Amino acid sequence: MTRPEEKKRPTHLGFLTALGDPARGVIGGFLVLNLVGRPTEFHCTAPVRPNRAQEILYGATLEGFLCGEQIAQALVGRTKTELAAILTNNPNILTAGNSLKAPLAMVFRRSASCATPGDEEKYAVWEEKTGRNAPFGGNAARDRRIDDENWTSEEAREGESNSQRRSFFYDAFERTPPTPGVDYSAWRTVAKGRNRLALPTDFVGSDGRAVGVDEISARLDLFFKSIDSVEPFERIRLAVEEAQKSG
Amino acid sequence: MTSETSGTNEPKRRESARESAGANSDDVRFSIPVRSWNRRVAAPKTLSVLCPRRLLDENGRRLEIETKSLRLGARPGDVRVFAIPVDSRKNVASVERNVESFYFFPQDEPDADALEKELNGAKKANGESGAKGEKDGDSNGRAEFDGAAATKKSVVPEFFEAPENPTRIRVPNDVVKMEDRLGYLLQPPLETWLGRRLLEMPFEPFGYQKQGVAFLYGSQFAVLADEMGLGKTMQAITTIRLLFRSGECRRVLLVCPKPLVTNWKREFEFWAPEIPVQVIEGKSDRRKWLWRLPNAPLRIANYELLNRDREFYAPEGEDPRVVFDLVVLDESQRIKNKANVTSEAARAIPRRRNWALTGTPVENSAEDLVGIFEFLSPGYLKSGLKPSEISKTVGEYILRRTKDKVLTDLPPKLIRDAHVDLTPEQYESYRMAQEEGEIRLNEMGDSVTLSHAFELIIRLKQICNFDPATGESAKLDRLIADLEEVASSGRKAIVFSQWVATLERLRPKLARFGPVEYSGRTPSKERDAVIDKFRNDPNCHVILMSYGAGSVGLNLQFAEYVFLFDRWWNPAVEDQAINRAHRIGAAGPVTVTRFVSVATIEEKIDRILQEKRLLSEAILSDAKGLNYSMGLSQDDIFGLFNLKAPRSLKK
Repeated sequence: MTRPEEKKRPTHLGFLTALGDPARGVIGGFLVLNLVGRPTEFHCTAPVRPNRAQEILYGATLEGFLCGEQIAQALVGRTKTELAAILTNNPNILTAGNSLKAPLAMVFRRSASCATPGDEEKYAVWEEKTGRNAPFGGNAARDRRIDDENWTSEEAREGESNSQRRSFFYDAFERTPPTPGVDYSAWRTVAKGRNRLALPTDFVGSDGRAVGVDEISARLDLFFKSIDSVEPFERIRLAVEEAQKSG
Repeated sequence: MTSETSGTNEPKRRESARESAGANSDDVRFSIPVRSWNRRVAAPKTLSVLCPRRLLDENGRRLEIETKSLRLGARPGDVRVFAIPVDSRKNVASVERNVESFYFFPQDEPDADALEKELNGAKKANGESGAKGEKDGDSNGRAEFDGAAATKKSVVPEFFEAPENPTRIRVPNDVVKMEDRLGYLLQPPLETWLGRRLLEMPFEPFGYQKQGVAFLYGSQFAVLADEMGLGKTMQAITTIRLLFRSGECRRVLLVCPKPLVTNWKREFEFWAPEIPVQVIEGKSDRRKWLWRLPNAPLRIANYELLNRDREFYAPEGEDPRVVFDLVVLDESQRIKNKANVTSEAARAIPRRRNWALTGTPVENSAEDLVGIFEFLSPGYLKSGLKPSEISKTVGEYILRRTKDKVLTDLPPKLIRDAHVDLTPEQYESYRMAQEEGEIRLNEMGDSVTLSHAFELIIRLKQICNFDPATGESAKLDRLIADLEEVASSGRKAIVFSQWVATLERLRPKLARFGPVEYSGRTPSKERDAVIDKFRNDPNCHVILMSYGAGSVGLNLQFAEYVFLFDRWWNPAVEDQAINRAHRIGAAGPVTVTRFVSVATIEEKIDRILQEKRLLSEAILSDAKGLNYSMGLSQDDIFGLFNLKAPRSLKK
């Protein structure tokens, strides 16, 4: 049997996102980077709009269907590069679950203020008032961060939201369940520098071997030495806008 | 449903490397000495190369090797080997003899094992960080170098974190193909490149310097016109370094004034130690060989050589042996006159992209910029445009920042005009010379020329410096008084003059201040020693410099006083001179004293210089409504003597 460390490790990382909304069309972008952050592949979709039948059929899970099943599957299927993982910043893509060729992980940036103990307290107040729990499993105390520097205690108590800020936690909390079709217990959050990632706990590779959270985390550490886990999504956004402009 | 766009040519390059890496029975292994490597590997070492014979062409003249079988602590796949000339395909061993030096660079083809090792090292180092890191951060020689930035890197972060607003590569407007535009947009921000350990930077660049690098990186032609002292050298070197690493450049030529060659060489050693620098110098045969050397990544030539060596780099009637991927002209105001031989020679250099570096793109007139753009992109900028039109046309291709905008923490520059009354004897000599001169000019009538007027100007300016009859000098008296104060406080001063003769007269008079001289008469080999003495000898308080030799490229930020003993013809050169001291690394305020003799031609010239400054601002800052002057026009020159330019000249 081949030991994991003997297997040639993947030296590329995928970044997958979806921009826009169903009404105007959802555009998918997929960027593959090497270990030092240079692009090796880029794919994007034309705007995807659901038809009436899909809207009725999928209802609240429509965005998950478009992003996770249509866009993610199509884009990731284009690459032949072996990927260490695929990162996304769009929770709707999580509906793709473990169906992609590499572990799918969610990434979000914590604002500087989130590291303060006060945020834990705010979150606890909010949790108590709303009766909602952390969507991800794992260390709840560690995960009790609110990625919203504008989140005041008053807002927390009232459970109000700022719809302009769509960080992952925020987004997840606003939904019941946070994103339809996503089993949050299948992810565990880990901190990577100032950013946080939700990693899948039960990914099985194409060779049938289970890849645990720790292994995925170790794989990603190699990349995050040179790459910011959030910044490449901005590259995708710029490239998608450019592609749209060029028709 | 999907549309695919390849935003980069990376995969192609990798495939090519992979194909050539495969060993077969035709391959031959040989060893050659490595002349240059980065700072982590001591040179010279022996490099073992697997050389695939099948890559030889029919005649066996050139061999392009791209192989992964390098063994030197280098990571497989991150090395590119440049073309090597060979004599015959039958004698592969001759490769070894023909290769004087073997250059290669780490490319952006990373290796997971090496990164992991580095990662583990970083974790360990971070665990031990603290006092040591702080100590490292304090020890630096940054004041020695142009453009050195604020802090030295001390601790390797475990995770790279991009800033909130990272510096992205600029997408040039003239790039229209979508794939190409995406290629720029998808590149990592500059902080990603500079932040990782693969590209070591001696100092963290300032934000505006990163923007300068991002500007140059994406530019096929560009003028980096930052004010002197903001680090144009560092920005150009860093961009060249990135271009080498990304494989976009293999052969770069840098052209600078001859006195700056050693300075550039030193700056490359500091900012990009992995890039081997080849200075084009020596006898004709050697220069020819250096120009045509196919595997030298970076060459430095001086302007004086360009015209002499034209047949070497651009032979008439045949294809050039070497086409440069990039040509950089430092102090590019040297080619402002598009009709002069240097300008023509520069335009003849075979090249794919080019940049111009200058702190003074507009010295005399808007035509200066036309001359520079004639090299950068022939025909792009037409003559005769208004300043506002020029500004609009070239705005995208010129990046200019000034110290007051980007270096708010740079010590202030205090400029004071010292109005000096000539001594009675000096004034008498001046008056007589002026009257005689004006009478003579009048008598010449329409046969008078500009050179006649210039002769008189120079004569009068020289009298303002020293009385030819008695040797008296009001300026000297004032200078000595000021230097007493400078020397007693242990500080250093630079004294500029237009004439070497003036410097030579000053030297014995200033003997007590331990003066050294740096002028056109100082042999090239002695120039570095002169600067070192001025820098390190505590008894040497003054350096006497001519504008021509000392106004560009030197870093003298340890001097806090600058004296302009006489005035140059245009303010840009004066600014260059002042900025030898007032630049990044300056420890304290720089005091500039400009001597102006009262009631003389110097006062009139001073007024014209002020107007020239306005012209430069009108073009570079797109300031509208400025009443600018075209500088020392014929009317200006004759107006200095209350004369009108003769009609024959006006025609």
